[in-house]
Order: sequence, then C-alpha cells, then structure tokens
Amino acid sequence: MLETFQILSFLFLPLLSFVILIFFGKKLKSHSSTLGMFLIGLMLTNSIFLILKAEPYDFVLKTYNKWTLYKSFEWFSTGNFSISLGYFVDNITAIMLVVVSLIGFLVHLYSTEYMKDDPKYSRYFAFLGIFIFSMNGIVLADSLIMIYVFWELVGLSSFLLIGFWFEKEKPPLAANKAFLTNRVGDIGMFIGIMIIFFHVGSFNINEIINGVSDMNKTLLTLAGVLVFMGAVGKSAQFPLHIWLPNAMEGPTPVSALIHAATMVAAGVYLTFRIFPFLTPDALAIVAVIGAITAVMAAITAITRNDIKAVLAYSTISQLGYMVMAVGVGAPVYAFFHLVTHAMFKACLFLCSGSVIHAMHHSLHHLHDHETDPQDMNNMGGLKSKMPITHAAMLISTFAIAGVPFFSGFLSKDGILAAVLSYYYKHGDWTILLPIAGFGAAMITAFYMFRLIFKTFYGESKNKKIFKHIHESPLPMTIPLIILSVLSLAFAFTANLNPLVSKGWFKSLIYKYSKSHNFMDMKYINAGIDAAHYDAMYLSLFVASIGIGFSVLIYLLRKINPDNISKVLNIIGLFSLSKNKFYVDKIYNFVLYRPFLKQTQIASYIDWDFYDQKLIDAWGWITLKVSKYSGISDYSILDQKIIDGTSHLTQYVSGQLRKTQSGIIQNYLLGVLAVLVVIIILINQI
Amino acid sequence: MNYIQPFLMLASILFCLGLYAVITRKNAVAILMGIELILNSANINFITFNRFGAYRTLDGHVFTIFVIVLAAAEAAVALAIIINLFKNIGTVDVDQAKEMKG
Repeated sequence: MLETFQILSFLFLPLLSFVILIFFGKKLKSHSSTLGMFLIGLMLTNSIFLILKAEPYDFVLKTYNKWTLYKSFEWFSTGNFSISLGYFVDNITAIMLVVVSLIGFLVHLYSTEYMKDDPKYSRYFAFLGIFIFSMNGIVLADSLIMIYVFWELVGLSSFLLIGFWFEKEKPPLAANKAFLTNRVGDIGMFIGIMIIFFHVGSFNINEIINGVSDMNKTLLTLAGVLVFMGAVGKSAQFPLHIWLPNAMEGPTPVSALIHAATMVAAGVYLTFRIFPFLTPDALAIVAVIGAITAVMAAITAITRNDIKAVLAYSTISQLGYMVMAVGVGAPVYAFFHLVTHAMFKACLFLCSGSVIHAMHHSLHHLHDHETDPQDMNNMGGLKSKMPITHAAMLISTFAIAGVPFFSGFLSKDGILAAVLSYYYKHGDWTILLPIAGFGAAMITAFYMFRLIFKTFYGESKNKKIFKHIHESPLPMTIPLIILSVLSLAFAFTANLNPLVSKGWFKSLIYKYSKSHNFMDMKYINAGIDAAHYDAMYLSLFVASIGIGFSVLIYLLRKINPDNISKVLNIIGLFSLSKNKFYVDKIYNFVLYRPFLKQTQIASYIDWDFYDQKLIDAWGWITLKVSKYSGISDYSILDQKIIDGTSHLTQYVSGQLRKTQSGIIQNYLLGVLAVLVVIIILINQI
Repeated sequence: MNYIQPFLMLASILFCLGLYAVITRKNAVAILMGIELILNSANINFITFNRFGAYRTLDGHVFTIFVIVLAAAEAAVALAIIINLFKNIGTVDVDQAKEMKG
C-alpha cells in the first residue's frame, strides 16, 4: 500500500503542481515557482529513495535479483475485452524517474530566474508540471496502450510549451509543426500496437514479450517497425526530425527539459522496452534509421549559426546514436547514452540559455531589439565575462565529444563498439553503420567545439553588447554546476580507469542485455566486448580529429573555414548542410505543395463546381418551379376555384335574398301555390 | 236538402273569398275580415260533414262553437294589435309596418 502510494506520488505530485498553478497561479504570482519546486523536489527525494532499492547485477557472481514492483487494475471492460492500467517499476524505471525528477527540478530552479519577468510566469510552471506528470506516466506504464495515452500527453505539453510565447509569430507555427509531425509517427505506433494486440490479446509489455513468439515473423516485423514509428516521431528520427529544430522557439529551459533530456528520449525508452520482441529485420531498419539520423543531423549542425539550432541538431544526432544502438542489439548502451546525454545535453542547453539570457539583457540595456541574441556571430570572447557558464559548457562539450573521463565517452564508446561488432558479424553493407557512427562522432566533436570557440573564445564580435554581458545569477548557475558534475565519468563509475567502465550504473542496467526473443544475446554481448578496444581507439582517433580541426579553424584560425566549405562543396556537402539536406524543401515540394494543390482542387470542385453549379442549379430549378407553382396556386386555385365558390355563393344568395321580401302576403301566396301543387300531386297518385 | 255539394261549394267560395281578401288587401282590418271569412267557411264544413256524416253526433257543432269563441278572442287580440299599429305609425296599411324587415 505504502509502495503503491510511493509510486503513484510520481504522477500525483506534478499533477498537483499543475492543477494548483493553473487555478491559483494568478494569486500565487512569484510563489508559484516555489510551489512547483517544492512538489518536484519531493518527487526527486522520492525517486532517490526508490533507486536505492534497485538491485545491481553482480559481475563476479553473475547474479541479480529480479527487483520489480508492479500493480495493475482494470480500467474498463466491454464484453470479454478489458483494458487495464498499471505501473511496472524496475531498475530502468527507477533511473528514468531520477533523471526526469532531477532535470525537472533543476529546470524549475533555473526557470525562476530565466522566466522572471514573464507575464505568464505561473502558467509556465503549470505546464512544466503537466509535462513531468505525463513523462512519468510513460516511464511507469506497464502497457503499450498506457504508454500511448501518456505519449499523447507529452505531445500536448510539448505543444503547449513550444508555443508558450504564442503572441510572437514563430512559436505557434513551430508548436503546430511539432504536433502534426508527431501525429504521423503516433498513427503508425497505434496501428502497430493494435496489430500486436489482436495477435497476443494483451497490451501489457511483459505479456507481449512472452506471447509474440508464435506470431508470423513478417507481421511482427511490420508491427515492430510501426510501433517504432512512434519513436521516430517523438525522438525526432529521420524522416520525422524536422520538428525538433523548430521546437527551439520555446523557452530555453523547456528545450533543455523536453527537447533534449526527457521527452525526445521517450522514443528511445520505448524502443528499449519493445526491444525483446523486435525481429532482427525490424532491428536492422531501426539501426539504419538511427545511423542516417546521426550523420545527417551532425552534418547539418556544422553550418548552423543559431546557438540553439546547433544544439537541436546535435540532440537529433545523439538520439540517432541511441536508436542505432538499440538497432544493433545494444539497448543497454542506448539507455546508458540516454542518461548521460540527458545530463550533458540539459547542461548544454541551460548554458546556452544562460548565454542567451545575458545577451538578451545586454541588448535590452542597449535598447536593441533587432539583433538576434541567439546568433553566435554576435558573441565571442564571453569566457572572461561568464566563467561558470563557460566551465560548465566546456565540461559538457567534452562529454558529448566523447573525451575520456567524461560521461559521454563511456556510453558512446559502448554504442560504437556495438555498431562495430554488428559490422564484424554481418559484413556487407553494414559497414555503412560504423562509418556513420564514427563519422558522426567526428563531426560532433568538430561542431561542438566550433560552438564553444565561437561563443566563448576569440575576439568579441560586438563590443557594445560585450560590455554589458554579465554572468547569470545563482539560480541559473547552480543547475549548470550540478549537471556538469554529473557529466563527468566519475558520476557513473567509481573506477578511475575509463577503459573498464563497469560502474554502479552499468551494474544496474546490465541485466537488460540478457534477453531477446529471437537472438542469442550472449553471443552479441561477447561480440561487443570483443570490439570494445577497436572501437575505443577509433573513437578517440576520430574525436581528436574533430577537435583538432575545430581548434585549427576556430581557435587558432590557421585555416579559413570558407576554403574548407569550398572544398567540401565539390561533392555538394556544404550546401547540403547549409540547407539541412533539403528535407524541409523536399517535404514542401513532395508533401505540402501537392497537398495544397489537392486542397485547391477540392475547394474548386466543392465551391466552383459543386456549390455554384449543382447546388445553385437546384436553387434555380426550385425558383422556377415555385414560380409556376405560385402562379397555379394563386391564379388558378386561389382566384378561380376558391374565389369562384364564394362568388357563386354571393350571386346565389343575392338572388335568393329577393324572395325574403318581408311581406307576409307574398309568403302566403307562396304557401298557397305550394299547397295547390301538393294537392294536385296527391290527386295524381 | 239531401245533397252535400251546395254546402261544400258555399264553403269553398267563402274560403276563396277570404283567402283573396287576406292576400290582396292592404288594410289590416280587411285582412282580419278575410280571416273571419276563412274561419266561417271552415265552420260550414264542420257543420256540413256533421250533418252528412255516418254518425249522428254533435262533434261538428262543438268544434264550430269553439272556433267562434276562438275567432272572437282572435278578433279582439287582432283589433288591439291593429289599434296599436295605428297609434304607432298612423295607418293600418300592413305594407307600412316594415321596421323589422331584414
């Protein structure tokens, strides 16, 4: 009972925050953030208590306890069909709850300062509350249908928060785009869930894993890919990644919480959960999509000048990594990367928010409303002015670039090893996967350091703005410090030797690499372990190339970036990057334009043809018919027949009236005449 | 006097004269006199059929006396009406009494 209460508090605390703030936010004013922080802080404490119960894997004895908490109750039933809601808590859930609560709490703290002067202050925190509620719902859910429900709820809260500044021009459009793009994936996901349901008869994930074995493999592949489509939408994978860069229109802390750390990772979490029943074919598709996303987004990020756009594409790229890791059979590393990425990417976003905040205030001070505070071309040399932000951002950049002793190294290395072993095993075209993985790793290192150098190093591009830049206040820097500490490798493994990365964290999640319905995971894990050293050396090599190029071009300025771009443009790479691989343009051309054309035609048929010709013709016919009907009714029926009757009556009565003379003697004469006639008649008989 | 026809003839002539007077006269008194004639022709009929009927009863006589009595009452009422008529419109011409004509 207490346990159930503890688990359900993860749903009710943020929901309480939402309900109170949405109804009483106006009265609470600046206290609304305090309330939200208090509730989320309670949740954070709760999640830490929960994770302390989790059972680690013993690498020496190779045993673990199956620590799980679960409870489900019937939601509704019709006939012999019933849907149940319930929670399923294991190590993974506990870790996810800590991640969501921690980053949620830090973002609350950060936002107290970042959103200080916003008129919709309390509503902002209310939306954060409903987001955390829905995210916890996904994490706790024990069935696909419940995940789907909360899946839509995070979509809604994402929509609300992207379009938070709806009075501006772009945010509502970005919110719509995000919502609609996600819908495309969600429809696939729903179809997939239904296919599985009709063959297994249950939505419960564990029951599905046990029940799909005798299902048709082709159909299961299809169903798996369709469910994965939901993840493609939510985790911004190619080809549905187009919404995430636009989602940066929302407030920066929101980007850190939703569009970097938690919500976009929900897709990876889902793929992780359904991994045991994805067929090898479906996994190959998953891996390819992840690889394409990782490389494409990384290349696009190189040429972005908006600091948040770089981070957005970097997020897409890193999510691609995770998806690829699940695809090649290493969901553990995918989840590991999910958690480390959540920390360092949230840190990066919050740092960028800190920079934007400083730029914004400086511009505000100068009464300059034209300059873009997010454009890196207006920054430079901020290191001296914002030391804490700089340090935090540098640490998290090391982490994302995969430098040893930082968290990203541990997880990314595992993914790259898995990809490499996949190639060793399958050969053939699968060489493209490690190429994509290592290529993206190199490019990631390159553009992340480009961002650091352009923002914090070199000469400041705009002296006037530079003069008024200040370090952000404490509520904004504390989350940066905490998150950057968590981006260090020591946060995840106590072992100082980074080559042996079996820390407490991996021991918590290790058992999930053990089971798959159709593959021998022992064999795969052995392959990954074998490829580990190759992958590590290679990844160190590519990361140093990336960082080296970045240092040469942007820090030391030995090479002019224009020359590089000219060289790259020989194979069209530069313009591809500059134009985001033309994905938006292709969609515009292939989807939106034909769709608009189609609607135009439909509107033409409907209005010009159907409405004006057919409907109006009916009107015309009715008009004519009613005209003649009116004539016949009035002139013939009314005037001739009805009026004729009354005319006749009038005439007859006029004639008859003459007999009513009032002279009794006339009547008497009449009586006499009739009498005479009667008498004659009687005599006749 | 063993034939019925002369009596019936007399009664018919009296009836026709009376009827003629009622229909053609304008004077209310003359009409009243015509009515008396009609009544008397009826009386003659009563007496006649009593005399030549199958049974020797006094039914016809009794009826005749009743008619005479009623005729006297009727003449009194009618004359009263005629006097009132004369008082109101200054004439006894029935054609002038047409206020109630629709």
